Amino acid sequence: MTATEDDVAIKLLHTADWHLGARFPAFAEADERRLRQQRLSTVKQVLGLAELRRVHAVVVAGDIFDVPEPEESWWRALAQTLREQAWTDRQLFLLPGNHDPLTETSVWKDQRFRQGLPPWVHVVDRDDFVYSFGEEAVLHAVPCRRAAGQLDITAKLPAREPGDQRIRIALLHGQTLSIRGFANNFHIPEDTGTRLGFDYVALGDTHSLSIVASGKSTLAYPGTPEPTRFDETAAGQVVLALLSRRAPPIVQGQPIAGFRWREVAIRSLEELRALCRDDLRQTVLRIQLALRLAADDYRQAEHLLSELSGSDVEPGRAAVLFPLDREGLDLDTDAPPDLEGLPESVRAAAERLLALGQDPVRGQVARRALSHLLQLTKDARTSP
Amino acid sequence: MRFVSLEIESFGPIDRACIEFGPGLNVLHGPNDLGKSTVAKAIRAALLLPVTSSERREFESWTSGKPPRVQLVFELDGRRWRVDKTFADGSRGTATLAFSNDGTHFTKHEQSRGVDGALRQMLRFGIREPGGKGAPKGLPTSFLTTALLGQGTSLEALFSADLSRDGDDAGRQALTEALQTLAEDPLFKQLLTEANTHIDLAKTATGQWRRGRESPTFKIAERIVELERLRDELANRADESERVRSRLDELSARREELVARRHAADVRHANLTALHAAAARWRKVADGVYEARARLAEFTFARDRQRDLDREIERLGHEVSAATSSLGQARATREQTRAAVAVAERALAEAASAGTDAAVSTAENRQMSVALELREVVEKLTAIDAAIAIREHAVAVERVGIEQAARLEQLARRAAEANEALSRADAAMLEQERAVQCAAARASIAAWARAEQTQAHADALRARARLGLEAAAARRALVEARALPGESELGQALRLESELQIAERVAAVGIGVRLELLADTQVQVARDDHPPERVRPVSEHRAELDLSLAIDGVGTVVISAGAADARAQLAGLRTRWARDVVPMLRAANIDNLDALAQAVGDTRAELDAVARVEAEAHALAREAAAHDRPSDELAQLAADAAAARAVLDEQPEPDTAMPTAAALEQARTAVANSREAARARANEAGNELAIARANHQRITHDLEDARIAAARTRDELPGDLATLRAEQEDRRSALAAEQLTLESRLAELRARSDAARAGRATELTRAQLSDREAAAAITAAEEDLLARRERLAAASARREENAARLRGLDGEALVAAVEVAESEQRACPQPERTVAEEEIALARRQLDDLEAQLADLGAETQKTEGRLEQVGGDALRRSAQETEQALTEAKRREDQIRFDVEAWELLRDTLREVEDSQALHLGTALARAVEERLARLTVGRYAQVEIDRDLRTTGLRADGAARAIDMMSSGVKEQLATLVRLAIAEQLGSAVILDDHLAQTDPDRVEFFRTLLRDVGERVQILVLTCRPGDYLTVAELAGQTSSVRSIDALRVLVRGGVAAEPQSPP
Repeated sequence: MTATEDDVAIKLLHTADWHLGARFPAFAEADERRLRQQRLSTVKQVLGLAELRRVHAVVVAGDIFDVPEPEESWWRALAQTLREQAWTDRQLFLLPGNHDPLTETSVWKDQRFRQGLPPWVHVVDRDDFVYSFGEEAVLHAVPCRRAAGQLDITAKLPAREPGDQRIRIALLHGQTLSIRGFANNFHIPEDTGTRLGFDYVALGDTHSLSIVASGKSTLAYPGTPEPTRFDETAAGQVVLALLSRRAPPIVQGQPIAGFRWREVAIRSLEELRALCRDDLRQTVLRIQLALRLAADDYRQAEHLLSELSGSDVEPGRAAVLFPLDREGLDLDTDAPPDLEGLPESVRAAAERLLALGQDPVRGQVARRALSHLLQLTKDARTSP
Repeated sequence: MRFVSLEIESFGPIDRACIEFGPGLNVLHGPNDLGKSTVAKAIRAALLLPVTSSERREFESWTSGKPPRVQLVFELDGRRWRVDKTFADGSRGTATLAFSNDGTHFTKHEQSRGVDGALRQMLRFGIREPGGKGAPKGLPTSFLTTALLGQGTSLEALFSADLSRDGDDAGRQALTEALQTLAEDPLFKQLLTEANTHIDLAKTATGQWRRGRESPTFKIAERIVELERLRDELANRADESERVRSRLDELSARREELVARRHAADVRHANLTALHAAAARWRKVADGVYEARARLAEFTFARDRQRDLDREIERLGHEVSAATSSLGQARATREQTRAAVAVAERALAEAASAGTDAAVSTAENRQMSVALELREVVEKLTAIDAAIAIREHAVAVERVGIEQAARLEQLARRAAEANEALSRADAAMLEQERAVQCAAARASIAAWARAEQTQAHADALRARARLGLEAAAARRALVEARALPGESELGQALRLESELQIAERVAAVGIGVRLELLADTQVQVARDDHPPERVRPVSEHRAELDLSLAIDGVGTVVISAGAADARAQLAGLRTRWARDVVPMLRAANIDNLDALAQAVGDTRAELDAVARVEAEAHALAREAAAHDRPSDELAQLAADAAAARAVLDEQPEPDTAMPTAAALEQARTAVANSREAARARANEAGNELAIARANHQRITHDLEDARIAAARTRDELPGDLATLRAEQEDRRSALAAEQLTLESRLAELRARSDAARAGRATELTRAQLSDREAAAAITAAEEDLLARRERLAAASARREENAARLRGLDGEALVAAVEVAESEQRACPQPERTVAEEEIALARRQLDDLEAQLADLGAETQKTEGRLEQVGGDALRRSAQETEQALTEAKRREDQIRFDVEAWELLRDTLREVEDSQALHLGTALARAVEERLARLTVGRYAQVEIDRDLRTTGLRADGAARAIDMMSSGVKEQLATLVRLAIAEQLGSAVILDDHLAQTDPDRVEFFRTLLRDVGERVQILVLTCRPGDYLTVAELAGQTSSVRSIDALRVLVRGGVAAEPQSPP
């Protein structure tokens, strides 16, 4: 028997790993700012989706902040965002994770932050945290209290009592994968749900979506709602969980991210042109160049790359462009450039650079110098 | 730029100077050593040197103590400027820069530090503004200052100068603008400019990467620094995290080890406890066996005794029965005898008899006595038998006692041996403790000896230092007490001496006088400084400077040589000499300056030596301080050493060498272990001995009782009982035989009595006797019965007592108990060793210690786990990865920026190479300006000059071959340098200073330059400084000026220090 909406006893929006305040040091300053700002924007989207889908509760399974003591502007912004939601019959649970553990100096202990939260927001600040959704369901949660450790935090979860027919939800942050000698995060056995009688185990830590169903119990990672790296293939989602007493849970991912992170290898001018034709307005783009072009094509490539990255005057085609590695863009000196019409002295200089372009040691520098010369002379020949 | 006027005060040898310049050629001429070159220095100082620079000391006045001052008025770009500088330290040094639009009224533009910056900016000589990193110090130089301001005293100064060494590009730019090079192609120029612009943004003129905010790598470099700092911080935290984790692993491993050790200790403790319990159990079982056996023996003894008592009672019972029946018989007999007596009495009464009654009576009496005696013997035999039984019992108990005593002795020996072993072990322990104590004491004494030695060494060093300082101070006092002048004073004195000598030479032209006086004229002549002497009236006399003739009756004629001004100068110098130098010499007690200079030099050397001695003394003092130990530490070491010596005094000297502390500790541990084992054995032996003693005591008590009883029998029956019994038996036999004899005799006697008397008396007597016998028999029987009854009662009581004891002893149970105890003992093997309480206590302590260590470890583990809260784990690892990635990207971007700049540099260099190959650069342009004049000067010998892009003159081409500049003669070099300077000045439209620049030029070429200078002077201002005005000026020009040539007599406009003449205003 499969659950239907009518059967649903409780509807959850499960998210995690917001990493508010995370830094992106590899990006340029302005781009880093955009990426950081987007994280809070996505949180607002999450809250909007929760309202749209009329969930009973939103569970945030850890790493809400990127550090245990975020800057004041971040926690104030989150508190403000939550206060702006006029929720009356919906709860939201914030679980400290390993990036923002419940330590004495963490934001979770800061009364200024806690008092700024609306009453329907619950911070899991004790090991025996429990919240009862009437007679239908109950939520148990255990916070992370340090950044690293080997404790089995599921040990603190109570097992299902005989006769307890409620829907039981566990909210945890940790890793189900244990690698010998490498386990730094809190280990959560995969059989936690079946072993302790939890119908749904809401997890956080992994940034990509992962759902594992085992009989009547389901264990899920929603991943981060806004990706943080290029290699997070299934990030940018939240999970909607429909939990019923009579049927297994229905759990599905829901895309929510504002940016799509995309890494592209460009090996030809045509590929570059095709990339520029894509709609990259919501894309965080990284380009791996492997181009060796003749002079004219080289100039065109330079022009397209400039369009992608933008300038002080106009924005780039991509929302955010990872700083470009121009080492992959090389001038092909096997195809001699057109030097017709250039003054003798300039042509002599170009020919010297062209010859030096074959040198195994200084060839690359010479080709770049030649590209500057050609660009300047082109500008001079084309300008009035 | 054009110089307008110059005022100098107290500047080196120049006391005052006031010079006005013309627009064209100015020739400042004057004799050597007047200060002409100093004028050029003053101009350079005014334009280039900061007022507080230490190089100003070179210009300090030789004569006055006033600070040097220069005021230079010049025109630049149509505006007149006035720079006024006073060179001195601190606030005494002043500088102002003012401008005037009308040439008369000046408005301040800059002052103090701002003056030099403004001057450098406006003059564009290629000198960086003062201040900041890399700014030039002192009097800066550049290519243009060398070329235009005559900087550098040799020709090589110009040929070794070039634009590439300038502090900034202002000079190059000015020259480039002037020479309008690279004009052939605007695109080439644009490319070069563009390349230079990109390069200049990133690098300085010297090729160093710029580090200022305007540099393209500034931001990325800052970013890299920040990321490296963050990476290092994260790496440190990661290291810390790893260390914490490693520490946790260590703690975990240590915990496992401790748990294992605790388990082992627990097992050991349990084993020891079990061993101890087993030993106790075994002892208990052994004691139980002994007890069971003892009780069984007691039961057996009681049972055997009961049998003996039963037999005795039976026998006594028989005896009582016999005695009772005897008594009954005796009573019955008595009744009979009474009756017989009564009959006999009646019969006797009836009849009387005599005769043998006495013999019968005697025999009867004897018979009675024998009967009584026999009875006694029988009683005695009975008593002897009882005594024999008692004695035999005592012997048996004594035997048991002896066995017990032997065992006791054995156990006592064992205990004594064990105690002895314990004593030996204690003694060994004590010895070991003493040895450890002695070793510690020796170590303390050695430490104190070392400290004493070190302190003594420090004191010796300090004493040497003190002596050295005292000697140096004394020597310094002596040296400083000498009244010698300072270096500057000496220098002034030497200069004064030199001037004086010059002045004297100038003034002392020589005087010759011939006297032709009347014969009797008395005349005295005084020459120069000599005293007057009388001379002949006709005589000739010469003097250098002064000649005085004192003619009697006429007067005195004084003739002085030399020009008035020379004499005046000489007088002034002499006055100064007398005022400044003579006191100096007098104070030093030296008569000449050479000696004084030598003395000053010697003093300087002595002071240097004193300083070295002082330095050595201070070094010794520092070394002494380094060796010093704190007084409380020394006191503690001394106290420890004294205590150690006291300890050693009490101990005998060891026979062998002292072992190491580790060996001592090891031995101590072994001895302690042996002692513990000996204590255990002693305790065990003691326990066994105590048990044996208790048993022995019990046996002893039993033996005592038996002995008392035996002694009582000996008291009652002294002598050998067997012998006594045999005697008694013999006696009984004898008595029994006698009794038979007496009976037969008595029968015979009675028969006779009967015969003698009528049977009645005899009968009576017999009856009476029988009656008496009966009565005695009754008495004896009663007594016998009583005694037997008493004996029976006693034996019964003993039997009852024994029976009660026996009843309390269940023989079978006791046997069974012995069997059980023995089987228990068989089943309970004797432990392989005994375990002392101390050993168990030690094991317990070890176990407790391990428990405590585990508890501590647990606490530390918790604390370490808590530290993980602060370090990163996976979050840290991710941050570190991101930071590393960002750092890699930043470095890549920096590399790309540098790569791009490198590309621009390559482009620039390539363009310049093309430029060189096509001769399109600055040097080429300048060379063209020089070559025409050079060719004219050298009549075509040198038609080409090689000047590179940085305007370094590298050589000439002669006869088609290149000739390096070093190969040229000095004359050619100075001529070429002059041509280059003039060309630069012409191109820039700037004044140029030529200081004695043609010293080695022949007259023809001098003539050439005279013409050339006039020609160039039409366009730019030239200031020539020379001591040969004729090389540059005509006679007429010497006297006056033309519109383009200005003759400046240095003697008129310049006053050296110490000379009284006033500078004259130029006409």
